[in-house]
Amino acid sequence: MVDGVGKTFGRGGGAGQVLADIRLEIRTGEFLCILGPSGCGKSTLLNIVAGFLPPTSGRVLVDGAPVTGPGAERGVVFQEYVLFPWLTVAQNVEFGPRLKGVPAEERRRLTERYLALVGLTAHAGKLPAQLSGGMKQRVAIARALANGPSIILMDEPFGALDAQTREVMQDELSRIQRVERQTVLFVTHSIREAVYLADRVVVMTSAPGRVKQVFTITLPESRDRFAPEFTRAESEITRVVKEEVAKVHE
Amino acid sequence: MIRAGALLAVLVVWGLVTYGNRALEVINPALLPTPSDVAAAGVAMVRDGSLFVNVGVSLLRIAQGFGLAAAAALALGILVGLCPALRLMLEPIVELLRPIPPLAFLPMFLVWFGLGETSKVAFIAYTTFFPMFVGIASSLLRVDVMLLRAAASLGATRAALCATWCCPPRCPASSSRCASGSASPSSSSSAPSSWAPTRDSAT
Repeated sequence: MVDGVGKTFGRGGGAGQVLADIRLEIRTGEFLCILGPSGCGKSTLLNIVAGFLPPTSGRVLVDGAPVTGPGAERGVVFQEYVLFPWLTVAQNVEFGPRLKGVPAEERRRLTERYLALVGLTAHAGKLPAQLSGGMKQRVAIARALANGPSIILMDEPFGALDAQTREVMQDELSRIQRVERQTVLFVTHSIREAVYLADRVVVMTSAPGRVKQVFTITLPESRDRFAPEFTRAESEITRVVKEEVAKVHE
Repeated sequence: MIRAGALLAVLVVWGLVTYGNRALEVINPALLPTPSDVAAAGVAMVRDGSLFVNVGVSLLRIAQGFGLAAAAALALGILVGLCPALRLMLEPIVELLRPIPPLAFLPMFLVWFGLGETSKVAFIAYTTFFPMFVGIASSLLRVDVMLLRAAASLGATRAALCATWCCPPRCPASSSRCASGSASPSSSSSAPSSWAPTRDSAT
C-alpha cells in the first residue's frame, strides 16, 4: 500500500541551512522515530513531508507521487492537538471521511471503531474544551487514523503532556500500533520514547540537520522499559545523541 | 443588587430634578417630564395599542436594515478576508468612512432617500454594516493557521475550507460577528424614529 518514501532535501540557503541532504526511506507499516537535539530541524523535516513547507532542494515521494502540499494520504498529529473546537469529539474524528464523501452509515462505523480504539467511546458527544490534554491527543490520533492515510506524521505529539500522562499515551500508541500497523513518522527529542515505540530510530546531527545514524530496534513489540536490552539500546543511542548536543554547546 | 440600586438612584435623581423644576419652573415642565408623567403616558400608549404598533414598526425596520447589512457584510467580509488584493483596495476606503459618526450622515440619507422608510432602513443598514464587516474580515484573517493545516491534512481543499469556515450555521467566525453587529441597530434606529415615529405619519 505504501511505497518506500524517498526524500532528498537541502533546505535553507543563504541565511541558515536547517536540513542538509536528508535521505530516508520509510517502509510500509514501519514506525520510524526521528531523534535529535533541539534546533536540528526535525520538525522542519516533518513539516516538509506534511507539505506545509516546500523543500529548498530535493523532494518527498509518497507511494511514488511527489508531495506538493498537504494531503489526505499524509495524516498529521500535532503537538498542540489542533482539534476543531466547535466540533464534538465524534465530528472531529469523522471530519476527514466526511470530506471524502464517505456515506453516513460508514462514517458512523468508522467513528465508533476509532473512538473505541483510543478508549473515548463515552466522550463522543463532548467538545474538545471539555477534555484533558491526553484525551485531546487521543482524539487527534483517532482523527488521523479514521481518514485511512498512507502514513501518519507525528510532531512531538506527547511533548505538551505531563510525564505520567506521557507514558500512558506511549503505552496506548504502542497498543494501537499493534492493531493498526500504520506507517508512522514520529518526531521526538525523548530517547526513551523513541526506543519504546520505534522499529527504527534515526538520529540527526545538530544544525544543519543530517542523518547521523540509523538504529534498528530489535526489542519485542510489547516493550518493557526496565528490561536490560531496553536500557542497552537507550544508552547506545544516548551516547550518539550526546555527541551532537555537545557540539551545540561548544 | 448593585445594578438595581444604580437604576433606583437614577430614578430618585430624575424625580428630585423634575419635581423641583415643576415647583421652581426653571425650564418649561412640559419639556422636563416627571417619572409619573412618563409612566402615565406609557400606560396610555399601551391602552390604545399605539406602543405595540410603533415598536412593531421599529423592529421591522431594524430587521430590514440589519438583514441588508448582514448580507452585504458577510459577502464583502468573506471576500476581503480571503483575498489580500481586495483587502488592500478596500481597507483605505473602509477606514476613511468607519470613524465618521454615522449620525453625521443622517442629513445625507434624508436628502438621498427622503423622509420615508427607505432612508431609515438604509441608515440602519449603513450603521450596522461596519462592525460586522470589519469583524468578519478580521476573524477570517485570524483563523488559526494550525487549524487550516489540520484540515488540509485531512483532505480539505481551499473551497471546502471556505465552506466550513464561512457558512453562518457552523461558522466560528461570522455568526458571533453578526451578533456583535446586532447590538448597534437599536441605537441607530431610535434616531430615524424621532423625526417620523410611525409608518403612517411618515407616508
